[in-house]
Amino acid sequence: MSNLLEITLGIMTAMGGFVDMSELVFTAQAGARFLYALIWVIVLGTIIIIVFGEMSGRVAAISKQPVFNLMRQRLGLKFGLIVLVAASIVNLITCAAEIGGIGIVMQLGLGIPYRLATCLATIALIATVWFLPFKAIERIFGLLGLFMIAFIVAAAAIHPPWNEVVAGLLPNIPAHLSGNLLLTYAYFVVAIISAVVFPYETYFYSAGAIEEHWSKKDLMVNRLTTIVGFILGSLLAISILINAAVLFAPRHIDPQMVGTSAMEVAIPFGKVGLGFALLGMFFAISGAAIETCLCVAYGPCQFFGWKWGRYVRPSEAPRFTLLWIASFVLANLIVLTGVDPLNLVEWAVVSAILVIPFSYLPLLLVANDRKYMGEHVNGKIANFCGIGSFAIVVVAAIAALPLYFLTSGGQQ
Amino acid sequence: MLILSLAPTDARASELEEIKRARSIIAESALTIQLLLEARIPSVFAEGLLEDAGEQLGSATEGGRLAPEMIAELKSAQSAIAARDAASLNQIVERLHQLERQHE
Repeated sequence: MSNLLEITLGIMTAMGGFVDMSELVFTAQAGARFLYALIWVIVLGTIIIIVFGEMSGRVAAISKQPVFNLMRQRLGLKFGLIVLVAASIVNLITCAAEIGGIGIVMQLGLGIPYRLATCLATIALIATVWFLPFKAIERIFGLLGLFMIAFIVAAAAIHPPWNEVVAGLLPNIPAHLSGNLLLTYAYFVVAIISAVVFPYETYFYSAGAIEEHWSKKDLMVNRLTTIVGFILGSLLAISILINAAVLFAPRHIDPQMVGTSAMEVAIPFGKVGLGFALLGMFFAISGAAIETCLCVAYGPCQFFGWKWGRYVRPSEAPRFTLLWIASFVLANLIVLTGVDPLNLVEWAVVSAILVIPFSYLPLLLVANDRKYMGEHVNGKIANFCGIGSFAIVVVAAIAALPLYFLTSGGQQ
Repeated sequence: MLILSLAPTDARASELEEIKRARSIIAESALTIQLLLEARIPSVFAEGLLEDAGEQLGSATEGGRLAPEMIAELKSAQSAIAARDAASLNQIVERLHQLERQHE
């Protein structure tokens, strides 16, 4: 019974924690600009994050090795260090974007001035990580992020053209696109893949498996959490896209303000719906902010073998503690410079896709190493999915920067 | 090479980008005002969004990158936002949308 409860909570946590600022921004813009044509990219990204999420959980449970430790082992000290620095910068920018998002939600929901809101949020997040154990942090924000289900309910209530939604599940290029718009479509393909498979999700999931002392007996929880939890989470992202296609596209809106996404629920359900949407956004984005900041600290600690984790008191892991507090403060300072959180999201998404292949490669190699994994080494299906997913993120990484510059971040 | 061959060669690309961004912000403002007047969103939410929209439109007019006609449209939009006039905003959105099509 307790195992069933554990699996259910794990799935719900994965679902509630699936959406962050990048998905809010890019899926809403994708729906508004290309209607249902990009749904398949969310599906593809979800398959990739399931494959590598499951792999990172399995590797952590069996080999007890977190991702950044594997990077050092498999990429070598020098190149591993370069990837570590790049990943830390990406995580920091992502965290800044999330803190900016929290500030916007607090400003819109409570009327607190934006900069004051981000400062209050940063203090609250630091206190949360300081006082709460790992599992409580993961569960509280993941489960309260389920307020985002309001977006799914809204999608059902507005009666989208389901035949077009279903058609969008298959890879396609809309026939009317050419020139600039075709490039922008390609940019959105890359950006949505990056937003769904953000590297911090794998780092955090793997670190969580180690913090919770996963072993062979947790492999089923790992598999169900990643497969069912992420599929349900992707429904949130797909719903945001569908709502944007139905409600925003006819009004010539390509959301340029984060708060606009919340109106997807306000249109069918009024103030109550808006309240649910803002609460969901607040907890989902806050959870992502905590995860990214902790990942900034996980990186160097795991790479250099320093003590890390929330299972020890902050004073027992001083470098880790200092790093995550510093990353919260630094992320908030970035926000306080006045940079638009949407720009931060774009930079985070474009830079994240460059780091993803180097984060996934060590995982793929270790998951194939029988010396580490024993009988839990990758099978044929896991390898087919793993190599296929890896090839896709490599292609996306190569295309990311040219597409970003040629389309001005998808604005053309 | 394929990507580069599809790249915009027109100097008007950046102007098109500004028009699209402004059109969306104005459309978002129109929707916000409409929902506010229908009491479907609280005023604190609407005020926050409209303040942000006004600031973004204001900084766009100060950039010196836009044609005078476009700046005039954005200033009209700012006035309409201040007057909570969704109908005028929707008219501006339609005009900007037509302008976009001419640039594409």
